[in-house]
Amino acid sequence: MIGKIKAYKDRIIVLAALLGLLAAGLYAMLAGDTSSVVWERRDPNAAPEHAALNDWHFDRETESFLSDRVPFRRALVALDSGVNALTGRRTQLEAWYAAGAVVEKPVHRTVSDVEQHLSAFAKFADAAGKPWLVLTPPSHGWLLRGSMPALMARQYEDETAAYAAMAENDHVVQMPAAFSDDPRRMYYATDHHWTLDGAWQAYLALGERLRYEPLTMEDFRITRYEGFHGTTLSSSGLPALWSDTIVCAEPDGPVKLTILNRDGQLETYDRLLFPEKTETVDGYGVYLQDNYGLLMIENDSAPEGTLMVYKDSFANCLLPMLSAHYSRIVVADMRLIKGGYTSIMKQAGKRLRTEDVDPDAILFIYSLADL
Amino acid sequence: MVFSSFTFLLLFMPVTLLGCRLLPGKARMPFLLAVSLLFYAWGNPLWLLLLLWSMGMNYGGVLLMMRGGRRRRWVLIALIVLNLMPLFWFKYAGFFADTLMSLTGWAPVFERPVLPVGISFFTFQAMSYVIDVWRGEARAQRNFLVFGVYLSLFPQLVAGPIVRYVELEEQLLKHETPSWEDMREGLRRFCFGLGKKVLLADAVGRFWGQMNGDFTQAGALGAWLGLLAFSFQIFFDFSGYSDMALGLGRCMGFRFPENFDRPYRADSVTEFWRRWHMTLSGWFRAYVYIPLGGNRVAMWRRDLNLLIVWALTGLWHGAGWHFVLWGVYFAVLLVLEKHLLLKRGWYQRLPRPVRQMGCFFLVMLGWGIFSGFGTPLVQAMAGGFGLGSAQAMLACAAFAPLQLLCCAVSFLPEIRLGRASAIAAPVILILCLAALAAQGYAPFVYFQF
Repeated sequence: MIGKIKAYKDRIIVLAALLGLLAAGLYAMLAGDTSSVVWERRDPNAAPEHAALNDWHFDRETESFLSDRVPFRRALVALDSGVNALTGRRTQLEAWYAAGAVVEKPVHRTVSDVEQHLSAFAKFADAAGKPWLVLTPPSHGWLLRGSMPALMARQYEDETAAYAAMAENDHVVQMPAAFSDDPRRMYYATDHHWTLDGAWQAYLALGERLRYEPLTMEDFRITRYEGFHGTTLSSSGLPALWSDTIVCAEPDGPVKLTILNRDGQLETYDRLLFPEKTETVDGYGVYLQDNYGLLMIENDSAPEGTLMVYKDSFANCLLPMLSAHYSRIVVADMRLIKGGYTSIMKQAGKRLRTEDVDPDAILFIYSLADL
Repeated sequence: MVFSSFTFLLLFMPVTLLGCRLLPGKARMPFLLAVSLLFYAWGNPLWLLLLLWSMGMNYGGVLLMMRGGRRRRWVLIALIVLNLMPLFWFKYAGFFADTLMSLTGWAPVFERPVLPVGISFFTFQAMSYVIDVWRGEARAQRNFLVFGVYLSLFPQLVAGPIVRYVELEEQLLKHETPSWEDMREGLRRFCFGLGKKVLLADAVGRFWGQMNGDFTQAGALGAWLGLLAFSFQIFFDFSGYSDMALGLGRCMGFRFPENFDRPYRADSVTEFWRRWHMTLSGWFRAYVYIPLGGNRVAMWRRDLNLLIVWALTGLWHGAGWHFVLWGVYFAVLLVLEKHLLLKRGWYQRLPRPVRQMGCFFLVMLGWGIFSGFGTPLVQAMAGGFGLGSAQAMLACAAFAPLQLLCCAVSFLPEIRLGRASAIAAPVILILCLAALAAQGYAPFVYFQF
């Protein structure tokens, strides 16, 4: 038998290689699994259309279609990312590995960019005649720059200058020293967002500036969700060898969440956390169901009045805690208001319409990348 | 279609190679022609018309030429002009229009055509057929199928090697079923070529690409290391492609001529050009240099011939004056080398590694001209923008292991892997598939020539 195999060795090797490749190709073409693309947080590329045959894109579209469906795509990307990381090059999409965490690429914002944004916030809030504050969480990569090789650490010089410029403005909430002292506790290892500990530090710092009396952690209802793989890990392409635990805090009493959904309809819920979202690829949607352009949180038992928040996704973990203090928080995520501000305000109705909110204060919560 | 794509690796290649091995003899030539035309049409079906025109025109033209008579020479001239016309239009019309405008201020108005892939390669192959038949070195091919396969055979259609008709004639006429051993060896070579392209050329090219022609941040360190990376990128890209072509050819029962012989180990520019893109050098030697008189003329005339050949070689690589300058640069080096260096005892007594490094340095400077970045690159290399920004330093450090690997593969003597190659080939293939899954689509650098 062994002698026969030896005699047929070349034939076996060639047929195994060619039939193996062909099987992979046919699988990708006919029954391709696109689940790994979902992990990359995008829609899979569609099959090329015949109309594209003459417009120079047919081959590229075929390639993208196959690439998204090739067997073991997730493992292949992880292998490539691992090889790149081991040889000192960056992983996919410029995510860096440092101190046990995958961190996002440096944000290149100049001091003048920052001053321009702060000036715009001031103009907006002054026109409304309301007190205003800016909260900018430092990025995880910037906090961990000391754990990176010196050359890589120098990539974060722009961010350092930007944060220093922000610190000189009285309306900017100074982030507590805990962020620099223990960044690994403040942020997820697989995601760019802060953990409950990070948001908690922001909650305490905001209490001093907004003049509410912060509660203790025991005053909130705490829930934990294991197995969270965040965006920096998925964009790095590295294998999902480790995961995070999402810890959430929400007020104990009844709250109401109103969302203007993507169809322009108002949806109302009696909760702020959506555990079912932890089963999806974007587990961070556990807070407030996801990111929406406009939403409102109401808590009739809260002592303070109305807070208007303009924010990015960093606010999502913090808002449930703030809702313990404000009877109404109206939240706008300007990144998601795409159909024109006037149009969305018409859909929102009077109670959510920002010009009719008449808040006690305006809070801008933006990471440097979204500023 | 490019070799380093899922479309080729997972569908086209297995079907084609299995077809080549399993189909009966009579069906093989039509099959090869069909798959080759499909391969070429994949990028843009309209380009197929150009290839078919070249096939029909050269096939019919040569038969007409062979009818004899006083018009033979005119048919030859007509065929050469007709072969060069599409090349001139698609590749050089815009270039000459720009030159005309910069000289006279008058710009002819026309829509710039997109360069069809591989036009330089199949045009030169077709011309080699016409001239070889004219010279009596090859017989006119009366079987259109055989001639069609010669001109369109997909492994070497778009990026070489440039196979002269006389080198392939016998293999085409007596085409036999490839043996399983040949197929295994061919696949092994294909994998190594794919590895050169995807794991080395594309990867190290990203470093050069990051600079994107802006050397103010790169500084002196970034510019020098960037140029080194570009030198490796262009070598591994092109020689990787040639390896893949040779490997596929062997799988299909053909033996194409070698195109590269570890050129960065050359110890003189003359030797470098005997090792780099050997089929192109051979083409120019056979069809331009020797007809001009070659070495059997006065020394000044030989030097002039070299200058003409290398200016044309430069122009073949691209439509731009920097390509011509690159060719002339090598002509000057070759002339200087012949007159001043190669016959001197002191030069030959230098240790070979020193001569090799000197030669590589000159070749690398040549790639600087080839890149077309001109003054900013020279300024950066001379330290005009400082040593380099933090970002450039980081990129230099990050790519250092890869550059070292490229150095080792380029400069060290070849290591015979023996049985290890049986394991290395599939490992390289998997790493390439991983890189393709992660990086997506990466066209070959040499397709633009």
